[in-house]
Amino acid sequence: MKKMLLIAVAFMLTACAQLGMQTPDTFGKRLLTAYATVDAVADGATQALAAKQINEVTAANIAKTGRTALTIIDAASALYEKDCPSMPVPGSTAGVIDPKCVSVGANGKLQEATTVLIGLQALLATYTGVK
Amino acid sequence: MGTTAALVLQLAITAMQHATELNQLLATANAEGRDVTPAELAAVRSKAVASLDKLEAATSHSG
Repeated sequence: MKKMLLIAVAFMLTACAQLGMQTPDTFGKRLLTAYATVDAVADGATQALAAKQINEVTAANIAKTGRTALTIIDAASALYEKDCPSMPVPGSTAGVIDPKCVSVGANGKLQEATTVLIGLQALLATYTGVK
Repeated sequence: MGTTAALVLQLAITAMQHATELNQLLATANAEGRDVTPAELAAVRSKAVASLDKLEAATSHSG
């Protein structure tokens, strides 16, 4: 049973590597990736708690740090909107952001959140073995 | 052992599902030559908040 499980996990990790992960090449895509990582970490921690791979204290710490990461990502988003406001598009209610616009402050905040999230993923992986 | 193994497997499957969903969103935007939309960002943020809420609830109710 244990051998089958290891084979299944190895198969999935190989499949992940072969999926051809897309690179987030804009600030918006990096923002989306950061939010998705908070989701993945929180979901993974909930399941790890159910599987008794982590205890309540670790789960609570992951939740608290995840909430902090979310706040930092929100701050990055707000800074970006301030520095790079979307321009109105004729005939559309949606605006468009100049892809060449750079917000140093927003990039710094997002980098800060990314560092926190990488730490959380590493912590979770030490308990679960799932990266 | 069986239950734990199943839960660990479920954990690996969930991690892969999250990666696939994110990749799909980025691939769609890249294929259409655009950035992600505010609606896509809002949807993913909502999922993150819901997952954090769920984790906090599980933490306070387990044991």
